[in-house]
Amino acid sequence: MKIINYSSILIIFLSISSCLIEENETITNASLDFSFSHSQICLPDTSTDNKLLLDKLIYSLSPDGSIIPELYSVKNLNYLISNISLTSSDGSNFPLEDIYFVDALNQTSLTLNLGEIPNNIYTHFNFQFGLDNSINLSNNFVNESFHTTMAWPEMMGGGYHYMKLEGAYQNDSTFYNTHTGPSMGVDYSFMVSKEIALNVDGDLGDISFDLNMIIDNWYKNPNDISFANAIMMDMQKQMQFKMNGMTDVFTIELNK
Amino acid sequence: MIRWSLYFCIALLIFSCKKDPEIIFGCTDENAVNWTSLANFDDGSCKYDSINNYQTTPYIITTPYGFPDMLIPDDNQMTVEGVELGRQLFNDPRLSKNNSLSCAGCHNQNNSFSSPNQYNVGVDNIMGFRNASALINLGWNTSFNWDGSALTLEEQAFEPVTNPIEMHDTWQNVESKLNNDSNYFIQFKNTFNIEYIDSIHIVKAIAQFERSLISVDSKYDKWRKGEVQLSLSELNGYAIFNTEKGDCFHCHGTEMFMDNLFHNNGLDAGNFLDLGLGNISGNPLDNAKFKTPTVRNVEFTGPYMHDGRFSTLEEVVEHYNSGGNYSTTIDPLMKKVGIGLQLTNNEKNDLVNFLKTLSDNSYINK
Repeated sequence: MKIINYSSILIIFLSISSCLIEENETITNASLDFSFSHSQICLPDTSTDNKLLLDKLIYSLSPDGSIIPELYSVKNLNYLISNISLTSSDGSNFPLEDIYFVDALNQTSLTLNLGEIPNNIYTHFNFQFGLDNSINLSNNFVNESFHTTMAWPEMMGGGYHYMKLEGAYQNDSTFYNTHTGPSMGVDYSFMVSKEIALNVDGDLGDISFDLNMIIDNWYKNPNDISFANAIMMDMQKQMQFKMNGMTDVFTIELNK
Repeated sequence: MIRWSLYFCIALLIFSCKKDPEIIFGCTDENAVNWTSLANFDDGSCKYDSINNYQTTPYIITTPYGFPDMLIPDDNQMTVEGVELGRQLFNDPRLSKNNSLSCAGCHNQNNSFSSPNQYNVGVDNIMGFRNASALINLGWNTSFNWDGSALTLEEQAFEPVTNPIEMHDTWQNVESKLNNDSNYFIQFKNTFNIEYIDSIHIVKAIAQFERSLISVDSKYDKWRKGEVQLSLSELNGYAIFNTEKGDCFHCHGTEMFMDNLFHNNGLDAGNFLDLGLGNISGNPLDNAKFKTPTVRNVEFTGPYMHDGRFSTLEEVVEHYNSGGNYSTTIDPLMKKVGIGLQLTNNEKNDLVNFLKTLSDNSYINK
């Protein structure tokens, strides 16, 4: 008799406390934010913070390994990243976001809240620059905001641009269009994996990372690439941009 | 007793985390005169207006291939009655001060709901300063007018009625005219369940009609479906359009043939007479930028550009072929300023021939 009564009390206690335990578990997770920044190396004055100022013909680059730097500006910068994830110390992958569209002219696109992430030790932040060919198909994302801006014609392989980087060089009226994407259906998207040291536990609070794109580095290391137009069907150029992008275009910094 | 205690505990265990929703009895039909938003359980008490029973038929939009879902406001869902009412209002000159000019007066269906004139004259004989835009597939636009001054079709429809160089009436006057028309009174009652015709519901009906103006039955569309063949010239034009040789697709891309964005396409070398988007945003970097129109039905919509400066498609192609004029806000997509595409005469002809495959004759003859 007493045993049954104690059991009843225990069950009632468990029924009440189970809800509280769930809530406490949620609280211990940290919220992860991302900011997207873009920089250029200003020559000869390298004392500035190199933060990109759109539509300013002040940035310098040495194309084709030239000693004489060339002025250039950025007027538009749009790009897609996908398969955004964190890798934990045990090798498991924690997916964060499928696809994200960055428009340098749209401030709201420069921050991304990825919600809560579970307690764990994370060693790498990963993303794919552009879209994998398995999903990079014409009209595959008609309801996404990037559909009209980033569409890549079927004549040249179909799908979506990875990046549209546009501006002037030499002078205000000479323009370049660095448009990368699945030229003639070949997949030139690439993975970027950046090492991080992030131990998320209940006391850490919100976390903020900054992913920076060093725009100059698209045009050098290992390939010196001159400003040019009409590269959407130039498979050699697309491969060169891919290689440069994989090398040192992106840096990541933990803000907190 | 012991068994009942156990049952009680198990029941507690199951229901302890859930909060039962409160049941509120009442009429849950929004069409009823005694509908209450608080009710979540219909108790059969709904009462309806016995004279004008408000019952509408949904107007179904079939999303064309390659188009996004249409942007339809929650408070102006499409109905068969609303579209028909909007069609009548669109063609009704009583929306103007002297009952002489309707929306259709400047947006002629034979011209894909645009105007064959460079500019149009309003009810006070004042000449406008922009070419009347074609009205086609508007439900997929995210802003309206050449300068993007309206963000919804409802907002856009408010403006011409009171514009001094267009219809130059007052909404109070227009409402009065329409409320004195018993046919309109019944139609508005049946469409929106209102007892007084007001400007809000007039523009809602017009917007519904405009969202119904869908054109996707061109030779190009039939070719995409494998129903017809394009000629060699049209195919070559398609290739020029969709590669960087012509580079038309960056602004006129996707199946909608527009990008919902604003560009300065090098029409003028500064000293802009019309600031376009810059006039709306106040940002000098937006000066001389205008909204990209779709090139569907472009054969029917001349003259071209925001100011109707080009009479023919050949003139338009020649503008891009020569590279346009430099100004501080010119789009970097105009990447060969003053040089241009350098197409041959045959290639220019092919490009125009492709553009004409986008003509939907059924749209202008409905």
